[in-house]
Amino acid sequence: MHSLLETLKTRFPEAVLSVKEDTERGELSLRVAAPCLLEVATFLHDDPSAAFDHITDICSADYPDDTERFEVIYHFLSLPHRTRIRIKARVTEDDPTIASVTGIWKGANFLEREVYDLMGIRFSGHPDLRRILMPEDYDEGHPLRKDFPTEGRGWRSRFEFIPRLDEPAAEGLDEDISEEQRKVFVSESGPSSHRTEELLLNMGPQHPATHGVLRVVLELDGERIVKATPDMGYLHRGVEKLAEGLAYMQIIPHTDRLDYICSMSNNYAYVRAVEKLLKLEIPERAEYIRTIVAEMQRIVGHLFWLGTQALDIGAMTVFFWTFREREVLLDLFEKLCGARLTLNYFRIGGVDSDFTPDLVQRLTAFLEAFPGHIKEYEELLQTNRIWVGRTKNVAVISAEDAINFGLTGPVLRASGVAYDVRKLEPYGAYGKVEWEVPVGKNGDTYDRYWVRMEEMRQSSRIIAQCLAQMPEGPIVADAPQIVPPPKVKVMRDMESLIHHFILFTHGFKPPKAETYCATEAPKGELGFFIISDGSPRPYRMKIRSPSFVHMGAFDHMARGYLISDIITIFGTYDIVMGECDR
Amino acid sequence: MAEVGLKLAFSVAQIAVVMGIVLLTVMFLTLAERKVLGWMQDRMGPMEVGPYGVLQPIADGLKLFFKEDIVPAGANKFLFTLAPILALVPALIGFAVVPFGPNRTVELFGYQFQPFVISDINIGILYILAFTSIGAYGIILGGWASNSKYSLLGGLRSAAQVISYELNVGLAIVGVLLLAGSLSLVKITEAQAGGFWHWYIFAFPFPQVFAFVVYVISAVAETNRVPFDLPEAESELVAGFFTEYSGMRFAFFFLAEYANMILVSCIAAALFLGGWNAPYPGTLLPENLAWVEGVVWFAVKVYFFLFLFFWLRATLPRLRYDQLMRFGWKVMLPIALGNILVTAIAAYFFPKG
Repeated sequence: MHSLLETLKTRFPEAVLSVKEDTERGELSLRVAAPCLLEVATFLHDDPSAAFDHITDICSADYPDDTERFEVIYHFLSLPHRTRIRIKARVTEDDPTIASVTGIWKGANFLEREVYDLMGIRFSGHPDLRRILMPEDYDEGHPLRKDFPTEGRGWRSRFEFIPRLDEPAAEGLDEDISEEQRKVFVSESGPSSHRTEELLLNMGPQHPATHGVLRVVLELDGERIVKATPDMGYLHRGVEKLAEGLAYMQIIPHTDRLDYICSMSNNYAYVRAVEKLLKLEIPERAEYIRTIVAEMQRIVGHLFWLGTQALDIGAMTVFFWTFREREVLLDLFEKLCGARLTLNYFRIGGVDSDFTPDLVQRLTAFLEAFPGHIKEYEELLQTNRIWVGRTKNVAVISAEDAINFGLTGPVLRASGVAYDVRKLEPYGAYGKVEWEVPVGKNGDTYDRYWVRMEEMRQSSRIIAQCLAQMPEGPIVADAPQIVPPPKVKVMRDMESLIHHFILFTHGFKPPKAETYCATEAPKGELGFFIISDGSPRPYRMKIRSPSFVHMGAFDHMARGYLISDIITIFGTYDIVMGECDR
Repeated sequence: MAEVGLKLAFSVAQIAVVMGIVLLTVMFLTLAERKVLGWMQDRMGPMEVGPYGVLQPIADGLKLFFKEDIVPAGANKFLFTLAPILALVPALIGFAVVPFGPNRTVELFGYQFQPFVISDINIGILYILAFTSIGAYGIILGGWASNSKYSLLGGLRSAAQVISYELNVGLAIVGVLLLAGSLSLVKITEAQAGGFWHWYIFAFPFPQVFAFVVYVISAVAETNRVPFDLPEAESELVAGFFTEYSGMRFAFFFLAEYANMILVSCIAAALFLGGWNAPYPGTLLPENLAWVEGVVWFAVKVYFFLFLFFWLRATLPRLRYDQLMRFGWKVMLPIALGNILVTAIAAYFFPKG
């Protein structure tokens, strides 16, 4: 047994109820008594032998038949020891309360709010326990509970602002505005000119620079930000809830819609989690293809980020130039799988279609020209004093804070922490090619920009090496219980048709287990946590989306900067609301 | 009586011609801007309306004209209506003293007229500065009267920006005034005749290069163009001071911005680049057609500046508010003041004539 589990067992004989080491999947998990959670968590964070400094995720599961109905599940990562651990604690339905770990990991703030919102578990000691994805005045319960219907409870029809066609239109909009509202800018307290008050500015959800439907309420002192409160959930579709009613392979197109800028990265993260659950081996050629397309998606994602961030700061031309290159890659995706944006290319056990020589040749041509294009962008930005002035020393976050907030991806690496899932737990072909993890120093917007620019170079390096090394062979695993037969055979062969039919109507049944699998998406660590009860549908699927975790650090990073900097912070996180709200 | 009537008729005709040319230029500037930006950004620009999109401005104008004119609830209606007019009128009124061509008089029905300048008043440049300051009120009032926080912030930014940079515009041209010894744009331009080495940007005894740079940068800031477009910063303040405007009122702000661009280009051409004077001494065309050459040279210089505006827009990101202020007060102002000092000393030791 892992030494850490031994230590925990001897140190907390009462708190630790059971420990489990899943050697096949390389996971440690631990059940603790809910009242002692804080004690164990503090030990895990502070003790040098554990040093779980990075909070990965907090989620919850509902077991309606058990006496202790709800399970709160914590995922922690120790960067010094490169280990992950899963802590589980049960609470009852009558008193669904557990201590908040926000005092230890600041990143727990948003994650706990999400658990509270969707499962109704209260966190005592949480500074701001409000709903986060659902509207604040939502009173129909907590959607992820098993007794909540997937189609919802008809709350939407009660919105007053949705016009009803059977009622006459409202009249006299002008008169509805009261005299007080008309005079918002008139001081109430008479002639005194010394009255000061923060200006409350509502930015979004419809705003040209919030990268989707994100709303931020800013408290301003002049143009300086006193407090920034993000309000999310405008794009919440309940993917996690939907997934509970879908067979494993039916979930793949839903993952396309998470981070729709680079949908294959989500496909990849999801199928990897399922394959880890199934303990399925992938043919080598498929691994290479997956790595290549994942890196192409990273380039697409970073090009999109660069264009929009530059546009936010006012440099218009970069946007069109990056989209020019993005277009080339999208054409390649179209050639590969027929779609350009929501690609749905990955399959459990492999990929959908093989590379053609024409595709390889076009990709090689792109890779040859691409470094020159990166230079072009850099000439427009890096050598521009306005750009440097707008990004240097803006939205600085220190390495400790970044880790404590659970940040991942380029945002974390720019603060000087060389954490990259591709290096830490190599998957795909990442272990077989040469590449480096670019790491910044100051943790400001400029460093995050630099890290992403370097990552694009590294990505093209990885793709070039993968193309050279790619072996011949099958592109899907030979696992008839899981992988359907090829379409050509289905159309001609009775047995294959039956096989296909059975798989797509019944789905396949993974073992009863649970697993967390992290993948390095362009935005950061995209993790899928799947609890399987042995049925063809996941019992619970939790998506650890980097954008959501990053938004938790928004207020911390925005305070004291100007309105103009808010825009650069949105850009520097590279948030996509589809992934943030799920 | 007949004399007054004739003068009036001639002035009205002149004003009509100048307004016509300016508004026509504005119209096609919008197209030119989109085309130039398009080419710089590897795309085509407008292509749908007319051949190569040349009729796009007309379509845009029609669209704006027929759009619903919305006054937001809670807005101050009077100021909300007044603001676009206050922005546009000063921008157009400035053209009254701009000399578009050689200073000559034409005799018509026995009276003397100056065909290329509507009114050659002796405080020409001061008059322009005074009126462009009023234009800032249009922006500030528009931002305030809209009853919107984005507009308000845009208006506030604009107030700070215009005050800071108008100062620099004013100080930058003092050097030229010292050398020319006149405030009349016609006289200043005439003093630069005889080849490009006589233009004030290069002129003896002290070339106004620094003043020119300060003027151009400040002029960009004054017209709220990239990289100084903070009052209307799209990604931050939605559209800044005209967030709530629509239809023709929006078009007025739009017209004002472009008219201002033309105006500051005209002033830059007249003060620093010799106005209608060719870069070589004398004229190439015969005496009676020399005016054509003058007008063409003036137009070339103005269009060069307008192109510069587009070029900047395609190249530069936007400054931040505090950077803008710091740059205005700590960099531009000292340069402008230093330039005045040195020019004054130079002008003292090398008096004119």
